[in-house]
Amino acid sequence: MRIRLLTLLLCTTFLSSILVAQTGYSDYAKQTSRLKSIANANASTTKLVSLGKTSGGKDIWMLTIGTGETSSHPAIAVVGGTEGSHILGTELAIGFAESLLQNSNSDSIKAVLAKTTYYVFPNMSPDAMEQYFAAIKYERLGNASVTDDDRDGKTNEDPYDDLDGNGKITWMRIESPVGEYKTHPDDPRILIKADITKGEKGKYLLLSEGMDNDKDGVFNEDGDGGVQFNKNLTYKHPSFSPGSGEFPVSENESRVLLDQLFELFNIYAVISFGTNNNLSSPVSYNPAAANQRIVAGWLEADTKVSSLVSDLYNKTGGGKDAPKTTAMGGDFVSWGYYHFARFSFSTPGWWPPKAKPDTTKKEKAFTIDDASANFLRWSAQQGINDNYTDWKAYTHPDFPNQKVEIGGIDPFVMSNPPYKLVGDLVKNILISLLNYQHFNPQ
Amino acid sequence: MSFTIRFIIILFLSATVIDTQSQNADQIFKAAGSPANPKVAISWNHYNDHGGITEICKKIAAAYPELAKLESIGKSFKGREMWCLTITDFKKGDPEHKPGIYIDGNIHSNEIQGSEFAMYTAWYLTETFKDTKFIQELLADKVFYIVPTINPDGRDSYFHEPNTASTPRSGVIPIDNDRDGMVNEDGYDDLDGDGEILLMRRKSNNGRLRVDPADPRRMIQVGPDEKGTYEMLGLEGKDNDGDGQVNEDGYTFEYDPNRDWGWGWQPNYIQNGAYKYPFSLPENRNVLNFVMKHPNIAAAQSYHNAGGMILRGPGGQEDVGTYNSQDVQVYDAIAKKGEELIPGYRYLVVHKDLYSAYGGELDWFYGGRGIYTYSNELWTPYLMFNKDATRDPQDNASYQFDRFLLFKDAFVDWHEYNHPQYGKIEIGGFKKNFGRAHPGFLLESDAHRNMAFTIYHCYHTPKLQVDTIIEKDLGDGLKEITAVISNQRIMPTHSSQDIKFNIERPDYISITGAKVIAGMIVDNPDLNIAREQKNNPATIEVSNIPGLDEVTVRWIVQGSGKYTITVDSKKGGLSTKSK
Repeated sequence: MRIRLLTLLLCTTFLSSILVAQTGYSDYAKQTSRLKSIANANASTTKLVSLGKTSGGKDIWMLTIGTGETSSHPAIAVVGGTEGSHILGTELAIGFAESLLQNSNSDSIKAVLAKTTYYVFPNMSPDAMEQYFAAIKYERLGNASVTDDDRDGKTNEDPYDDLDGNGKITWMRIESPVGEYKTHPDDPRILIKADITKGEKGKYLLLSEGMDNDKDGVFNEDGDGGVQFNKNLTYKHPSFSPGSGEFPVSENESRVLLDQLFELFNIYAVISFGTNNNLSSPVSYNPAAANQRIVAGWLEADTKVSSLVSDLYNKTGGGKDAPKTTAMGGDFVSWGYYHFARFSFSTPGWWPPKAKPDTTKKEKAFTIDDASANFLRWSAQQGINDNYTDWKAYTHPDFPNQKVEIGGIDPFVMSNPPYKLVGDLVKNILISLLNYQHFNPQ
Repeated sequence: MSFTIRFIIILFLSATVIDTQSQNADQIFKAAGSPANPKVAISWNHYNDHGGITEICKKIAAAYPELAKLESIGKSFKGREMWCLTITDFKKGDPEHKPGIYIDGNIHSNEIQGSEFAMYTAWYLTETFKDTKFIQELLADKVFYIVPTINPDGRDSYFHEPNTASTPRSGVIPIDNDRDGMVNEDGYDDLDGDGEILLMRRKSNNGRLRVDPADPRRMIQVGPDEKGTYEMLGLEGKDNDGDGQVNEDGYTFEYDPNRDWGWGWQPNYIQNGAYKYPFSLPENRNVLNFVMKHPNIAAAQSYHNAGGMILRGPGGQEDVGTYNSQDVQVYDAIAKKGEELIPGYRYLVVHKDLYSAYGGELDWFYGGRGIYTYSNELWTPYLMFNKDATRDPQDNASYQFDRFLLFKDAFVDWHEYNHPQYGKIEIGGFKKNFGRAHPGFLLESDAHRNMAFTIYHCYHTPKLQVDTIIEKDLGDGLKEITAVISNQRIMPTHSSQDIKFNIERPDYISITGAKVIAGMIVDNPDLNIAREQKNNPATIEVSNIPGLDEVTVRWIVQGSGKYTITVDSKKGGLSTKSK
C-alpha cells in the first residue's frame, strides 16, 4: 500500500502542473462549460447528467467518473457548494475531476477508475453562488425560492443595501452608548465585543450594511433568498429558522440529490465541502449520544475509521489550524452519516493560516485572539491588500443624530482564498480522495 | 350490435336504474336528520373502489355546482387522480377566505372506510343544505376540503388483490427492502382462488388447538394438560422462492405512508416504514402542496381504522412539549365532545396510549402548520353488541355477531386443500371485509357520527366579527376610534404552536376611508394600556385572536366621514363593518 500511495503522490504532483490555467473562480456558466469539457474529453470514463433544476432554473450537475460497471464498484460521492458562499467547494469538486482525468491514461489512475467510482455533485447552491459574481456581492446562502425569512407575512421586504456603492455588502458601525463592540487593541480596523466581565464598555453597534427598509427595528433580516441547501436536510432540521425551508427537503435541489443518492447503493463515503469540518480532527465517540433512540453521535466503530481518515488528511493535506465547527442541523454532513448511513466527511478546504507576527514590522502577538485580526495580518504578509474596506462616514437616515461608518472585512474573503492558492488546494484534495479509495470495501 | 339496438338497451337500462333508485317524492316521509329524497342516490352500506369514488365525487359536484367543486390535487404513483371535493356555499364569500377543515381517509391501504365517511360528509352537507339552517350557516362561514382517499393505488390493491383485513398497509411503490435483488418474491398466495387470504390449519395429533364445540368455525386453545387436534400454519400461502420460508416477502408492507411527514421525521432505522425523506411519497406530496396553498385550513381530520379512537399527537415522546397546554385545552374540548357523539370511541394520545411513531400525518399538520388535527381509528368491536368486546382470541363476540347479525357472510368455512409443502390442509377464516371494516348496516350510522364530530370541529374554527366601534372626539378635527374584534368559537386564529414559530402571518385589522394619524393595540381597555404600531398604522397586526375572546385596537384619525374596519385572518376568515 505504501508504494501505491507514493506512486499516486508522484503522479498527482506531476499532473497538477499541466492543469488548464484558470484565472479566477468560475461562475455558473463557466462551471457548466468546464463540466461539459470534462465529459466531452473523457467520454469513456465520465458521464455528465443534470438531476434537475433549482427554483432559479439552474441545473444540478452530477458527474460520474469510473470505468466498467460503475454502479457496482465501491463509490465516493464528492459534493461541493453545500453553502452558496463557499465558492471554493465547487472549485475543489470540479478541480478534483479535472485533475484526476488529466492523467486518466496513466496506469495508476486507470487502476483506480477500474475499481472505484466517483460521483461528483459540484454545486448544490448554484442560485446563491451567483451572488459572488453579481454587481452587489454578499455572502448569500439561500436559493431563488421566495421566503419570508423573519416570518412576518411579507417576503424580501428588507434586503441589504449597498449604501456606499462599492459593490460589496460590508458592515456599519454606529457610535452608541449601548453598543457592544469596541476596536481591537492591536488593529483598530477590527471590531470585537467588549468584555463586560472585565468592566469594559462598548462603543459601537455593529450591523450589516443596509437600511431598515420595513422600519421594524431590525436590519436586513429578509432579503432575496431563499432556502439554504445546508439547512434543508432531515437531520435535526431547524424548522422555521431563516433559510431552513418550511419543512425538511423542501427544495428541488435537495430532493433530486437525495433521490439520486438513495439509488446509489455502492456509495460508502460522502465527502463534502463547506464550512463544517470533521476531517482535520476526528469525530469522537460519545456513548450517550450514540446510544439514544434518536441516534445523535457516531457509533464507536465508525469513530475509529474517522480517526484513520483524519490522520490521512492531516498527513497529506495538512489540517493545521483548522477551525473547529459544530454542525447546526439540517446540514449535509450530518445527513450523510445519520440519515444516509455512510461515512460522511466535510472540510472547508481552506482557512486563513495562523499569521506569525512580522518582527521586521515590530508586530507582536495579538493581545486578544481574533480571527479577523489574524486574517488581515496574514493577508498583509501575503501582499494582499484588497480584502478590506476602510471605515468611512455615512449619513444614515435610520440613525439621524449618530455617527455611522461603513467598512470592515469584505464578504467571501475569509472562506475563499485568493485564486492563486486554489491549485494547491485541489492537489491536496485529489491526493486525499485517491487515498480514501484504499478504504474501499473489498 | 347495431347502434339502434344498443341505444334502446341503454334507454331501457337507464329507465330501470331510475326506477329502482328513486321513489316518488310523495311516497317519502322524512326521517329526522337525513336527506329524504337525495339528488345523488347512494346507499351507504358498501365500499367503493377508486372508480366508484370518482363517480360519486363527480355526481355530487354535478348535482350541486353551487355547493361542491371537484378537483384533482395530483396523481398517485400509478397515475390515479386524487380527488378533492371543496364543499362550501360558493354564493357567500370567497372560499379561500373562510376557515377550513381538511378531511382525508385511507392513508393505509386496508383502512378503507374513511373514504366512505369522508364522502358521506360531502354528500350529507350538499343534500341537507336546502332544509337545514345550521348547515346553511355552516357553509356560509366555513369550507370543507374532502379528499376521500390519499392512497388510491393501495385502496384498489386491497380490494382487487387477495388480501387479509390487515393487508396491504403500505402503498404500492415496489421496494427491494432486503437488497437481495428480488422485489416481493414471496407474498401471500390465494391458494383456493376466492380473493381472500385466509388461515391454514392442519390436523395434528400434537396440535395445541381444537375446534370449539359451541361454534365449529372457531379454533380454541387446549388446556395445558390436554391434547389438541389441530395446528395453525399461518396465513394462506406457500414458499414461492424455495428458501424455506412462507410469505416472507410480499408487497403488503413496503413502507408506511403515515411515517413520511415533515415534522419530527426519522429515518427507517429509527422509525420503521419511513421512506426516503418527508413527503417522498407522491401522494403525501400532493397533500402537502394542497395544504400549503390553502392557509385557511384551521382544522384537519384523517380517518384510519380500527379500534374506536379519537387520536391526537404527539406521535413521538420528544414532542410532548410541542403540544403545549393552551393547545391541549382546545384539543380536549373538541375531542371530549367527540367521545359523546361517537359511542365506543375513546380520546387518546398517540405516543402515550398507543406507541411512539415519528413522521405521522397528524404531527405535521399540527407541528408543521399549527392545524388542530385528529386521527380517528374507525370501527370498534364495541359496535357489535353495543358493549365492550375485544379481538381477544377468548372473546367469541365476532363469531356470535357474524352468526346472528351477518348470517355467516363474513366467514369462509374451513375447506380442504392439497398444499404443495404442507400436504393436506384446511383453509378458512374471516374475510378481509370483516374485523377492521364496518359491516354494511353499521357503516352509515358510524359515518354520520364521525361526520358530526368533524362538523363540531369545523364549527369551532375561529369566527371573527368586528363587534363594537366606539368613537371619541379629540378636538382639532381628530377622532379616536376604538374597535373590538371578537372570536366566537373555541379555536384561536393561531394555535400556540403557530405563535411559537410564526407559522402563519399575524391577523390584520385595518381601517380604510379615514386618514390615520396613529394606530395601536389596546392591551387593557380598562386601564387604557396600549402599544402603538408606528409602521403602517392603518393596518394593525395582532399575533392572535384567542378563542371565545376579543382584541381591541384603536386609531387616531383626522376628519370625519365613513370608514370601514376589516379583520383579515388566514385561519380566521374575513369580517368587515362600516360606520
